[in-house]
Amino acid sequence: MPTAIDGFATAPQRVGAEPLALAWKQQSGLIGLSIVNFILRVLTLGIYHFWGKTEVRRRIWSAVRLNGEPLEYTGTGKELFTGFLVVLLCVFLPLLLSGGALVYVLGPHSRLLPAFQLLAYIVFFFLIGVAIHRALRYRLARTRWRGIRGRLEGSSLRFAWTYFWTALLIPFTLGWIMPWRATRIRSLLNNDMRFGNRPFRFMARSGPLYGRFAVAWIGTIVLVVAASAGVAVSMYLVGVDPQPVAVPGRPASVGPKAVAAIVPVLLVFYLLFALIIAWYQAAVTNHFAAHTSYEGATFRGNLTAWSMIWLVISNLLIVLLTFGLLAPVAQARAIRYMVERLSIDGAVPLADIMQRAEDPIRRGEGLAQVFDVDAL
Amino acid sequence: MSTLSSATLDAYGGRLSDGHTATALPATVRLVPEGIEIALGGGHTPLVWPYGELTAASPISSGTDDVLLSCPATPGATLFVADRSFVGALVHRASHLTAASQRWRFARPLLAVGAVAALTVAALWIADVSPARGLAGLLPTKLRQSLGRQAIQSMSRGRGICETPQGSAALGRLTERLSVAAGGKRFNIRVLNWSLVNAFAAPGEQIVLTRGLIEQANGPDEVAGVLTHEMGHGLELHPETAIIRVIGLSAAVELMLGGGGGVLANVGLLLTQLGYSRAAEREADAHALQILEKAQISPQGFADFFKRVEEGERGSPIREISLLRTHPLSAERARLAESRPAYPVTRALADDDWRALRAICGELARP
Repeated sequence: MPTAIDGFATAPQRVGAEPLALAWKQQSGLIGLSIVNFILRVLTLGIYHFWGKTEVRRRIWSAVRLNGEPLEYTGTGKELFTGFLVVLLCVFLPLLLSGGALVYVLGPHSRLLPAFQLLAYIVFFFLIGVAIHRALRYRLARTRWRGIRGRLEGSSLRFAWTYFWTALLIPFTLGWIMPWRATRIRSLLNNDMRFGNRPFRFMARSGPLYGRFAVAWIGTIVLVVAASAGVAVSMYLVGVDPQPVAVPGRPASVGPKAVAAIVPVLLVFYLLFALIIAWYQAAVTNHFAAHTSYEGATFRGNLTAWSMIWLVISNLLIVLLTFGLLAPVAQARAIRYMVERLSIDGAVPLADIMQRAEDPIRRGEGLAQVFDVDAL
Repeated sequence: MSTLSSATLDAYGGRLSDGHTATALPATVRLVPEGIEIALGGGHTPLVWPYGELTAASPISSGTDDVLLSCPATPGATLFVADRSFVGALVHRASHLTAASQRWRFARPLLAVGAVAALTVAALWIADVSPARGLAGLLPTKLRQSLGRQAIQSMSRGRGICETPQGSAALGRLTERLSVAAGGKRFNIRVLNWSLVNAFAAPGEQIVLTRGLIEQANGPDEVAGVLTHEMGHGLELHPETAIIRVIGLSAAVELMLGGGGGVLANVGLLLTQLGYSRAAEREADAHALQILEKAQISPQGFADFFKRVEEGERGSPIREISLLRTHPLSAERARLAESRPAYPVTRALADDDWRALRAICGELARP
């Protein structure tokens, strides 16, 4: 489609397909930005939060380079703010107030209250799926490369329903639905993703994940048993009675000696547990990447358990030790990790990728912000 | 257009995308007086994007390596220039693209909101108006009672409420006597099977005494003294006010500091919850002394008990209460109690009733 726009026209260049290289270009000043955002946030009673978040995203998106050219984040603080306000006022507060009103009308001992509570939990849980889908939809709609927008098609409700019922089955299947569920969810999302007018394709089966899952599942059970035994043994070795005697008037507690015995043991087991999860999760991400394609190009993931653990632990420390102040730094590191561990094989005929009509989504991520969940 | 002179200006290499396909064309970019001039070659008229209308994908500074620009003059198109000297030259001509300028534009109206809010709070503070107290007064009684029941329920979990026929009857007589003296408001008083020495007022005219407190009290007058003090808190709606204040403050802190500020926020809130303010304690004391006088109970027990609580800080068995009552007001209390003109008094409870009350948790504590 030859297009003539005010002063210049690009004839469709048949340059053939272009290979794509994903890279990260480190941006400076993220720490300063975190501090400035914090100060402005306090001074504006928190409202600046949404604008601060937007500036952080603009910087992080700019750091992601595809063939040397940056991604662009075009969302605004106003969109995030109104999204948050609308959900707070139209979804969250009515739910909360109707709960309060019910206690008031029925009295605190009514048998209907637990039923209402259950209903509220179900609604909240269902909304988490809606939140994930809508957050991703907003972010893709506000992401451009070479001026071409991303987009997420599909119904949030349909996604939320799958997300919901498969989650309900997790306890009944002792977790064994999880690889299948992750594949199903990723399939719903990735197959609905667009860049310009062309779709992403995701065709993965969950079968290949079950080998690692079985090892991780058994490993987790072995760990729990070993951790209990380890705690008992270490308490025995330092001579702590495992049955703390409740002193009248004081809450039952264990002494510093017992804590000194338990904490190192638990720390080791938490680390081992994290390693198992990372080992499984890295394989899942690599598997999903290998089965995601766009116009003939396929992704390749090079995630490893150790690198993932290091990312998670270092990010956790960055956030915790600064009381959340440097959360943007952690966010950038997480995205950098994915960018550097993902590559794209094959070439894409970029001249054939056309802009599509803009997604009419006007407000951003209200549910995700109120429920504090993130896009997958 | 000053394209005549543009040939002598520095030319930078850039890549232009038209926003219709995902391709980019090499372009030559110059900084002319009207704006940036983008030449594609091949006989096209160069585009000129005025400096004032430019937007950048990410804020720039003189040290930025590259910039992605767009302009409403060519809707949908983007221009990427990876040249530090270009960005450095652009910063001076389009200063609205710097981080500081953009932040200031967004933050200015919000800062005004913050300033107005701060001034309002300061004004309320100076005028000694508490919005939380005002809201507390608007809550319907049924709601306050329901709040109080929930508070007591969560506190009595795993401890149990003490009831015996005689003990409850005795407590009922004391409650009745004090409630009538307090102006007829029905108070609901319960004893919790808890060794901690404590008493607290919950919303909806509800008061909880602990077994520990009854055991530590020297006679019924001291229990009556504590009860009237807590009734004073109840009459002033202090518990309701405290709940509203905590909810409001935590919402505000959550907004201002966000999720990551949770730790700081909780420490702060804990500090505010540790006790009522000195002024609130004085209000409760004033009520206590009035109720005691109307009920013809000696204020001595009231003064004595709080005095022993404070001395407890220096090593007596009832130390724990000092954590909850942070303000050493006992000297002031004793003076208050003594300064009241004498009036005829009777003991708060007859000996039989006092014994029954002491045994309300099943076991008779030391005499």
